[in-house]
Amino acid sequence: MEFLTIAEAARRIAAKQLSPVELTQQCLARIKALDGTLNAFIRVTEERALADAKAAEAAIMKSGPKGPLHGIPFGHKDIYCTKGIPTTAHSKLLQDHVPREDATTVRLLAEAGVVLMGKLATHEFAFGGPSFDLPWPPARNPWNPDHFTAGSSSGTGAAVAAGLVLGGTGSDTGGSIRGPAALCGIAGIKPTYGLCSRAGILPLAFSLDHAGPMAWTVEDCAILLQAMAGYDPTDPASADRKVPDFRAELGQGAKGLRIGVVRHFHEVDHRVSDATLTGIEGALDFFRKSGASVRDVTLTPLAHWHGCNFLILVTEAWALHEPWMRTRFGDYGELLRDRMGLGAFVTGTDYMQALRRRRELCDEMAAAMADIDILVTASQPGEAPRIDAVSKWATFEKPGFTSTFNLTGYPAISVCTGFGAGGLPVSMQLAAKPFREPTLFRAAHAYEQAMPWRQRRPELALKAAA
Amino acid sequence: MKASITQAEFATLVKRAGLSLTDQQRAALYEGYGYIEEMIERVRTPRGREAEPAHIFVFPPSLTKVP
Repeated sequence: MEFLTIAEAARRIAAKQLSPVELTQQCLARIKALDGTLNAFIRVTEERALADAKAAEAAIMKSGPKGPLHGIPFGHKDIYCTKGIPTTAHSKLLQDHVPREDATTVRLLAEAGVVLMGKLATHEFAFGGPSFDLPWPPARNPWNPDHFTAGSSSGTGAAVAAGLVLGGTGSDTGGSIRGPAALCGIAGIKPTYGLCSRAGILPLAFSLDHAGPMAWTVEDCAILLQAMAGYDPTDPASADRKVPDFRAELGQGAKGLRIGVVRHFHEVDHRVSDATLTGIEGALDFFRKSGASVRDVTLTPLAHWHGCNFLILVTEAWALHEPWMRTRFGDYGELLRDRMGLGAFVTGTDYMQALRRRRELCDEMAAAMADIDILVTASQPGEAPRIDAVSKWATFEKPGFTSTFNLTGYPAISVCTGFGAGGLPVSMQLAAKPFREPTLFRAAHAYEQAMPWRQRRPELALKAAA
Repeated sequence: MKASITQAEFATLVKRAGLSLTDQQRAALYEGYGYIEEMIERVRTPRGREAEPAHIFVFPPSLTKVP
């Protein structure tokens, strides 16, 4: 069994060299072989997958594929509502929740022809994890199942890296797409706030939630985003603007790009591992040699961006969960209830001061990005830690690198930059101006194409494929 | 991160929030309270009275077109 990208599978399907049914059966076989170890799925929808695949195959044989996602095996994070299929948020509280409607993005991806393989593990309500006290176990990292995936889109990260699906959805309120993309060695983009509809996705924090895709390559993320993006009047934050061609700038290289590096974020404010630093420096060398200009950028220390984002997040999340927190506190997993419960103690004044701080930081970012196309920093501090060694307060103890771009709404992508001493992936994060995803994809794709990292898959997945 | 208030003072906040917790659950929450205090301090940077918050909204153009 081969590992295919979406782009390659789509090419073969269009040329009638690959059957969507066979591709789906291969992914189902991988799921059967590996998911007992990885726990990437909460629910495998085998019958639906085979029905989708057969329908896709029949339509393609008759009139060709309707696009590059027609017949592609795909999974949804289990906070994306799926009509008639339980959507649990990986929580006891929603164990029996069966939505009556699809989320807008679920509908758009179905219209693009994806084959629904099932619902993927998440940190509980996209916030607390890794948790061992929920109805389903936490997802594990395919590069070493003793290690963490990061979250909250943990199942999508694991499933894509192991080839159980070719792509999947994630959501990102402080880094929940880019974190697992980084630790699982795949690509994941948090698009500009408002680009993808949030309607029908279980909310965590309204002003910070973003929907986006995760896949093996940058190009695959661009293909998926093309299907997911677009104005949705049922989402009040949805941007009413024309969706560009996200692959339009792929292949243009990095020449002429103006790149800024927020070196103090990952060298001083939260010092990253040597392998992560080497990966970032390697990427900057690549950009310089490709004809991009690279210069350092200094921003407010990372802890301020992270703290402001976290305060807003935990307050908005508490407001949503307060009724259940008051009556069913013990039904939440320990990690979620202890982290989110802190939102109960943020006063209205504190929240307003955080919103005023948010505006100041957004203004600062806009000024810093005025003559820059791409901003570079870390995505995660290093390789994935052991899953049993993640502190409940990990995200409080040291500031994360990703939440800066939730706070400001700027698009940001995590891409693999190699492997660390433990053999697990390391990564970097690239960000661009709002709605400049085509340029973000251009830079990330140019780097990814020049490096060998996409040639390597987790040993566990290779053994299952042999 | 050490909290600036005692466990007894924290218990008052818990009660005011409408939470009915066991001693163990309350102690677990208290462990994280110092981090929240630190974040609250960070967003209280000096600023003028006129500094606007981020959630001020504008009407969409479709609503404000003059017929």
